[in-house]
Amino acid sequence: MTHQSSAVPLMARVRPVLSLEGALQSGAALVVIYVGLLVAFTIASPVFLTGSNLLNITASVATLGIVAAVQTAVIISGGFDLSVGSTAAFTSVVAAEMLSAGVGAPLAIVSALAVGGVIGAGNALVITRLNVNPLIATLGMMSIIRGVALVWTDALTVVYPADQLAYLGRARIGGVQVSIVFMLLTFVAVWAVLRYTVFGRFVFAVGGNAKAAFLSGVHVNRVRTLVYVASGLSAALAGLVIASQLIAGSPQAASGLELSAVTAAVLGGASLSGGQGRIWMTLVGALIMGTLTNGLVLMDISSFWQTAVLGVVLILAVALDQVRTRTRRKG
Amino acid sequence: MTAVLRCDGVHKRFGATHAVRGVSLHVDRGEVVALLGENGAGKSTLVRCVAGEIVPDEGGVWVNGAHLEQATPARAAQLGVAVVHQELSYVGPTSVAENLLLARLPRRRGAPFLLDRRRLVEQAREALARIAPDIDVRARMADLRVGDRQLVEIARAVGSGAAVVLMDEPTAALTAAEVEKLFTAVASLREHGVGILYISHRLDEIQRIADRAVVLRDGAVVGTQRVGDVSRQELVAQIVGRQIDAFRREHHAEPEVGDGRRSLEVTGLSVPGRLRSLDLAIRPGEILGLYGLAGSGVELVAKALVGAVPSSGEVTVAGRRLSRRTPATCRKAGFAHVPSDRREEGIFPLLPVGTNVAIAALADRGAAAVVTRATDRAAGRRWTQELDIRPRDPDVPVAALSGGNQQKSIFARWLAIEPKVFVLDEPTKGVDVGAKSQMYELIARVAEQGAGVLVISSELPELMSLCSRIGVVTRGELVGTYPTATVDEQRIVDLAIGGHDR
Repeated sequence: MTHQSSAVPLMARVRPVLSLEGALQSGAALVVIYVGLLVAFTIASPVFLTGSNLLNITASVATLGIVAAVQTAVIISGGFDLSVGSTAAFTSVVAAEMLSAGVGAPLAIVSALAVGGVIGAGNALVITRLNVNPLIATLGMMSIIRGVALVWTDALTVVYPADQLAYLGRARIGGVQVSIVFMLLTFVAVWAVLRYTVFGRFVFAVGGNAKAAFLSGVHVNRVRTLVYVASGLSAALAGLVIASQLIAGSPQAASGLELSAVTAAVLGGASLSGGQGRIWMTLVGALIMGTLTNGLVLMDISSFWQTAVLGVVLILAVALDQVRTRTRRKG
Repeated sequence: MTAVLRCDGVHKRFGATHAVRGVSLHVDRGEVVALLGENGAGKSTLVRCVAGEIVPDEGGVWVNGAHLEQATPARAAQLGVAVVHQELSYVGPTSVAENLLLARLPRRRGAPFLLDRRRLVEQAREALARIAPDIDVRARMADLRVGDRQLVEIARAVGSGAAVVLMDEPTAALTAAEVEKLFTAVASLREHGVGILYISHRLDEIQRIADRAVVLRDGAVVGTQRVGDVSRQELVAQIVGRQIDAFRREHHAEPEVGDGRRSLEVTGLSVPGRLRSLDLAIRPGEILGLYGLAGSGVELVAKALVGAVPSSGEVTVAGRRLSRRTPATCRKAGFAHVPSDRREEGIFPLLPVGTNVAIAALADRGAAAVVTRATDRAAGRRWTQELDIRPRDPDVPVAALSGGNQQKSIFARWLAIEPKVFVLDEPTKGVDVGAKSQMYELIARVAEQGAGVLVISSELPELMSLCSRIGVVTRGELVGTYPTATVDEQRIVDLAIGGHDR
């Protein structure tokens, strides 16, 4: 969400985009990269540009998109949440265990979400009260949650009755997977909060200069706490979608989801130094990653390479952030 | 006599600020030279030039006759410059001996990767013998008292063959007994032919231990004399030195006295170790100034008042006592706080001017309130207009504005909530002359409209022209509050330097 002026004359707004710096700042570069990617894969594979494949891509980024949307807000607030992958796996297990124990779906869903929220609150507590760096705090939480999930399930997948939970992920509405709808709803919610509430302003203010926000009378810790709780909730929603898609809860699921989410947000222009980020560009970032994976599969490249490619994209995204910061200082 | 340190025509500029303007001075063998001057007179910049931390734009520094070229701290040390900083650098968990000999620990013969503990202790004792023979070299550095740590630091600096020692406010954190030990050490160094450049605000100390005093003002030397030849009053006059009437503006009328109303009432404001039991009262429409030298504790008053640093004491705003002070509760009580460090604590650099200006008012509406970009923009338009903030565009990031315009945006942030009390910490620091006078008019205007204003500033002329009364803070205590009409700058600086009756 950059505040661009409507009062600025059109040319003044267009001209910067024509330069490299302008392109980097506005996110136009990202869209160009994405289109390039689509063209390349279309040439490389005949099945790539088909309606069903494009829907596949979108569905495959649904869980990523859900956590990446909120991750963007976390990064804007100057934080970081690496625990989302573990939390998604853990909450998928929570839901599956409850369903297989015969508890109704509504309670299972609410419990999974509650667990996600509590994990987020735990992150916030460690970060705001114990003053632990967010990277370390959530890295620790990532390990703890994954460990607990593995101990609980003996590293086994938890299957639940197949007639349950379909509507959270694998069901389709007019051919479109429900998970895509959840992802879009998450993006719209985060966008609306960031843009149309005072809380949204606080998120930008805390990330832009926490000291100034504190001295202006913003409850900085409260803002941080809510952001991490939201991140935990988004991870739980992703976990429910996963549980629905697998018809099971898996303690091994969603490994690496946190890195993908950070990559998508940073690709989209969220600055690791906080205070900046564009929610819709994160969606483009997530699509780029899903498209890359899908394209590599179609080109019959080993899935192990995908992991390596993810690393390359993450480093490129952060390097891009550095270039952006530098050009911003010059300007 | 030969000079161990000579500065010749040293100039240093930082952007538009000409911090040091052609300073020449020298320190002879076995001589203690005091460097005096107000905050911002250029003392620290000069010391950093000598220490090799920054390179002078013009002129040069000679140590023992050798030119300090391509200055780096290592090069300066090599030539014989030792620096005892205000903030000591040591390795706490290790022994005094290891700290003393950190760079040249004795190794065992035949096994150079092993430490020779016996020789370590011997050499350390030797190094301390001249300065502080009674410190146990085997003690942990962290267990020593501050004064002793400082002596170890001095011994370390001198041990490596220093010709000249720079001491920056060495007594700021010491007790009276520790000061005596330091002076003994200084005397011993002097006997051994080491030159000392001694920076301090405390004139009584300087009259005791310095041979000569060099006074800096606005980056230039305004006086050099043997300490025995000048009185304290003459030194203070040199330090202040301005045409006292140059800045003075006619005072706005004294507000009504005696109706008992108070915008701000403070009793017993204390910050452990830094500020002792400060009492203040400001009437509606009054501008009260607070002055103190760097390190006096005055720099903490604003933050302590709004609860941004832990403090005790009672604060009452417009008759309402604040039970729990945080920046948020203070904002709600009608308390505006413009912090001293605009970049670090004031602006949200990447956010647009509109949001920067609106943030306090938005906070008043609560986090759940719905706003649009138009909300921020409207606030931005209104205040860029009213306070003449340029450019008049609510959408540019505030980082793109000049210092003065940034400061006005922060001011606007608070004006928007119509506060009853303004606490302004260094309101014109780093602000250009034009914006400065606009800032003064603004301050006068909010006072006329009935707010109480507390201005904390290290620029005395500013306080003299703005305030009806000025309080002076020395060593953590408010030593007095004086109607501006009854005092002059010399008297205020004299009080701020303190130490008359100590």
